[in-house]
Amino acid sequence: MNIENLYKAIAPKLTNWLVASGSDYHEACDLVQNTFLKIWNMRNDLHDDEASVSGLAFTIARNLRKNLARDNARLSFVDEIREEDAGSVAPNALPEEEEERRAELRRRLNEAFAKLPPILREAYTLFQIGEMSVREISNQTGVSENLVKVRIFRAKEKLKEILSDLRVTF
Amino acid sequence: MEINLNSNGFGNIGMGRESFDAAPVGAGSETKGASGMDAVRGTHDKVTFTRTQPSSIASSEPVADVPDAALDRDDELGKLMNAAFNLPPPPMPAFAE
Repeated sequence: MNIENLYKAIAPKLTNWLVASGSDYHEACDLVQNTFLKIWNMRNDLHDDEASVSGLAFTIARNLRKNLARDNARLSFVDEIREEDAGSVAPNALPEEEEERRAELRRRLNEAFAKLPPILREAYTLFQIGEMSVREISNQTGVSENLVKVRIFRAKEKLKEILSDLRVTF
Repeated sequence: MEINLNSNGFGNIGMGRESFDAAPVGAGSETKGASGMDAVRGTHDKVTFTRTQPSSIASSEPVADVPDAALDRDDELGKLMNAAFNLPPPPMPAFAE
């Protein structure tokens, strides 16, 4: 298994999908690394193709996050927001001002995602940020490809409505 | 609530036409499923989970044809998403042999 190539192809979209799904950046990074350590441990049972491993990676990451949320709730930290996590600022080569602008945009978009029904949010974020095909999302979520398309379409329409005050022509 | 029993006796409850079929023992077949697990080679020879038809039948959501053009990732909304969610991944962890 060429884990390095798989990591380069999958880790960026998985990281961003986790952030778009509500994780802060540092949590997303931990989840991505732990996901790939699990994949590495399963390497003898896996096909070495990106599409298969990508689907598995999203599933593992989602489950790890659920476990983390459950553990956090058990420790009663769930309502605490750590100061250093605010805005999920990532180490980046961008100028500080530009990074702040993008962090603010992420906050707005995450707020908009939170207003979507979960099934629409999931379909859209997997499609747009996870870069999955409609067929892959259908396999991942267990609904027909037509229904995936409808969910993506409806999510887009709602997001355009919610974000209409942003000065962007949709 | 709908309960279907298929020929091998596994039942589905309100999930549309999905089924769980027994795989031939020792066949080394692939698992297919809703969770990306089709990457797993079935050398373990137990039971293969097959999704013979997606479960949209069970959903009350309207299903209509959506033109592919409506799913453009590079429209203005998509560009906005791509600009915001362009964070670098973490460094690759060390994979021990």
